[in-house]
Amino acid sequence: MEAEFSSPVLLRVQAEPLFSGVAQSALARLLGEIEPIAFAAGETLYQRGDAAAYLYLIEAGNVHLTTPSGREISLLEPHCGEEAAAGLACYACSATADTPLRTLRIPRSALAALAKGKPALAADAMLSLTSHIGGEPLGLPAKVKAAKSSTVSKTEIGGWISLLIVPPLLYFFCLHNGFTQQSAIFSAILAATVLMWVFSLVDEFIPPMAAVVATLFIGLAPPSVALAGFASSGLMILVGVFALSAAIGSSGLSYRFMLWLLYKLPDKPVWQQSALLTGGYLLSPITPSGNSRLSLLLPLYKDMQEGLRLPKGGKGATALMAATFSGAMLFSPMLSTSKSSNITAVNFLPLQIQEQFLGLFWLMAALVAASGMTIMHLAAVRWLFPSENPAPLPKERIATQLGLLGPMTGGERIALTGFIFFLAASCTVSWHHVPPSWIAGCVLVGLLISGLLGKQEFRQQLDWPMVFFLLGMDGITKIMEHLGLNTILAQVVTGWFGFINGRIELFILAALVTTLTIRLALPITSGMLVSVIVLMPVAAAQGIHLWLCVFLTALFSDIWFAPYQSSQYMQVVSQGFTSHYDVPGFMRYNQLMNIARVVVAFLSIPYWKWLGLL
Amino acid sequence: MTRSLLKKLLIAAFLTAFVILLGSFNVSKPRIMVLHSFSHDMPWCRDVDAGIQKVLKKNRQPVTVKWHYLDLDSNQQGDHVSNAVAGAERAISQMNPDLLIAVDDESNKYLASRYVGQGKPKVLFVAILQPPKLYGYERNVQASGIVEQLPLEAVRDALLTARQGKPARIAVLAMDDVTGRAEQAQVTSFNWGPHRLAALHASNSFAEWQAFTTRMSGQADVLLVMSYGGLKRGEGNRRELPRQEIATWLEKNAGPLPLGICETYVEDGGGLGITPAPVDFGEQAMTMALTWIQAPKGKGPPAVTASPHFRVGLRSSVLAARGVSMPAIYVEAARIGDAYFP
Repeated sequence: MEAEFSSPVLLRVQAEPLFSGVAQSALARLLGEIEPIAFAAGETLYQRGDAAAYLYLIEAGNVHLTTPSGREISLLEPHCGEEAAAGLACYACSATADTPLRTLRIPRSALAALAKGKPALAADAMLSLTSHIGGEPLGLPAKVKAAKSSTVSKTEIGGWISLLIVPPLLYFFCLHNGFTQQSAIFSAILAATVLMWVFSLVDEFIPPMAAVVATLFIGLAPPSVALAGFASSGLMILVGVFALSAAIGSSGLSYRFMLWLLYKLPDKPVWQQSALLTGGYLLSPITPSGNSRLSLLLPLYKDMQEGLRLPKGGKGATALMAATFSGAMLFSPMLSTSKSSNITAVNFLPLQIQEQFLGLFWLMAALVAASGMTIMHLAAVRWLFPSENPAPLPKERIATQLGLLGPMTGGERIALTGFIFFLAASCTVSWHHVPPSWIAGCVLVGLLISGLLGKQEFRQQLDWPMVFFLLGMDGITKIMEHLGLNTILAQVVTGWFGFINGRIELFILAALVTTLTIRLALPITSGMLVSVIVLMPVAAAQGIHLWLCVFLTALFSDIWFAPYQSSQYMQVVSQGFTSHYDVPGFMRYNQLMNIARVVVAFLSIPYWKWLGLL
Repeated sequence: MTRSLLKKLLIAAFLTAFVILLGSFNVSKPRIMVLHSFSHDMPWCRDVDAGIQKVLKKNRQPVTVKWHYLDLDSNQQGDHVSNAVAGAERAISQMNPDLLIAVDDESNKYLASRYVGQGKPKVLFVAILQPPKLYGYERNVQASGIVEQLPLEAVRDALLTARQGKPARIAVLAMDDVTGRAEQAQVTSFNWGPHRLAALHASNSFAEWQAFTTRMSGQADVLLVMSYGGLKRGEGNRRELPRQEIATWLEKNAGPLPLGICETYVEDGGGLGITPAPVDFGEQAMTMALTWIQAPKGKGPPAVTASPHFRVGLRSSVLAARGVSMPAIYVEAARIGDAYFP
């Protein structure tokens, strides 16, 4: 018997205890599925054993349930047929109307959709059914107190206020100091971007996007410049490597490899850490992006930390993260091909120096620095994160685990093939002349066609915010070049370095200060390039070897103090790894490595003299 | 006020300020409208635009530039002209430009000249064949620009070279429209010595062009082909003739040596062309426009100039068929100007 659908339906749905905590938008969708239905006194709503197709909300009238043992019980809550919401196949009791009855009938499919927004719905429905059968309320509190909303700090408020004040002030300051209008307004946009990072006002990938959008909005640069990253080979290499990394993790390949490493390596933390460090070093010559290297190493870190059962936030897990991060980053300045800005900066050098340093001689000239950084990393880890004397690694258990994994699955084989293909093809670029970006593209296509990455995995497992962050940063760099801000900066700063007078020690300090200052606002790649542009004329005028200028800026541009300065660290953060290690401990380690970069520069001076570079 | 509410208010203030400041910056940017007499796919307009874009690519000064095309190449009849003018007026009124770049005589005659004396927009005329005064562009109004001088001196020299110093009898074929009449005025007032202007025919019908060309066999040594965009097959026929058909027919059937003053004559299949340089007009126009809109208030318009450049086009197979050979300097000029065809 059908009844009229009426507006109080919404009130009834909102009052229903099972639906407490459901979002209004979900309730709005649910309303479209509800069917008002009435029953006469004595009419049966459903019989025990019937398919559990509907939940009934009682609007008016009384119902009783008949339990499997034949007991008749009244409803404690104004609904019946919870089996449909609890996911049971059929009704456990029968329900009969005692009086004329008005109900709202909700189909099982609508309840399943509702459960996506409220996963506890099934459990609540089961609890309600149990209450009815038991005859007494099992009563959880009607409403769980909402978690206290996150507090807003004074710093955050200060950040928003400075965001309102500083950029306009900077705009007028620049205008009155000889900047063109377009440079002044972009400086203001850049200031807003940096403030959003410094005060952590929004997620880190948002400020560069806001800067790019603002630039396009006012026509400071054409889309071909501001969105150049999205039309570059960089997009392909990022997506390709991120996809490969996702495939390695989700296929279980990294877990299997980690187990194999743990089984084969001596049971000492230093060996496990060294495995990650060396892995990053080996990737450096062929993967000119710290982010790409890190994406390949992070799945291994996660599995190794879990496999070793290192407590989250403990020293062991932090030491392992330090090894992972340094593996990806320490070798960045040590080779011409391990950092995209190195490759670009080499083009600024005279042809003769380019030819000399494009090969292994770069690594040879950086040998003291590379060795020094590795030694200092090992020392810092030993000092900051002394071994927690974990229980000895049960090799038998690991062997059993490996046995349980069985032979490699199809997915693992595909991921491994993709990885080997990428490495092999990247190593042989000089032979086949296909750039690494298109190789990464091939890997991406292979993973997609093979089905290892489906549409859903492609949407969910790739770190899209990081892709947008990196391409947004690329856009900012291109806009600066387009507006000639790089050149203006170089002209302003070059005149300040007369005091160096050809002394390498003072040049190292000048390079340090310049790079660190520029890096406050600019990311690693553009920060290094702008520093090179500024310092190259100084080095040339002071008789200092130009490669040293490039190397020092490459080395010092990897120094960072706040997370926003390092897109690699942001990658670690955005993938949720901060809960795995001790963040303050890692930051202390990072500060030590920052100091180490300065120390190795000075330690290299005698070696550079011996090489004839000074 | 709780901190949470304060944060929300600050975010709202920032977003509002973000949109308002950037929006007001955009609104206050100088605006330039480029008004073409013909359609955007006409080679002349395309090349003028290429010159404009070349300058804009280097420009860093914030400026909004929009284009509008009157499409008068295919039809210059009353209704079509008035509709095109009304559409352009709406576009100008919507954009409210600070400066209007009006390219060719038609856009100046029908539209840009109406803004003379109004102060805004300033008018920058480009490639007009008629004297600026004809459109009311006097020194004391906000109008200036670049007049188009047909490269007739270069044509005179080239004819001497092609005919090994012998003077030529010149016949002229032109359209009977605004541009055509302005071209005729320049051709007839030019001192052609030692050559002689033998005949001139102006018509919008290709049938009449063909008849004139046939008549000129033995009557003239050279046939100067002026602009022919919008030429119809015959009187009463509204369909525009394909440009290639015109050039190819002339080369095949004309007794006198055809020489195009129209910028695409050689590209369309002709043998020799000496034409104004549209890319240069575009470059000059936008450079002048950017300087003018930056000039302090009260400063008068820049001086009227003429484009000194011209373009040589050469199709050697067609010339060879007529037994004409041009010196290497012409060939190289055509090659550099991307207008050399084997």
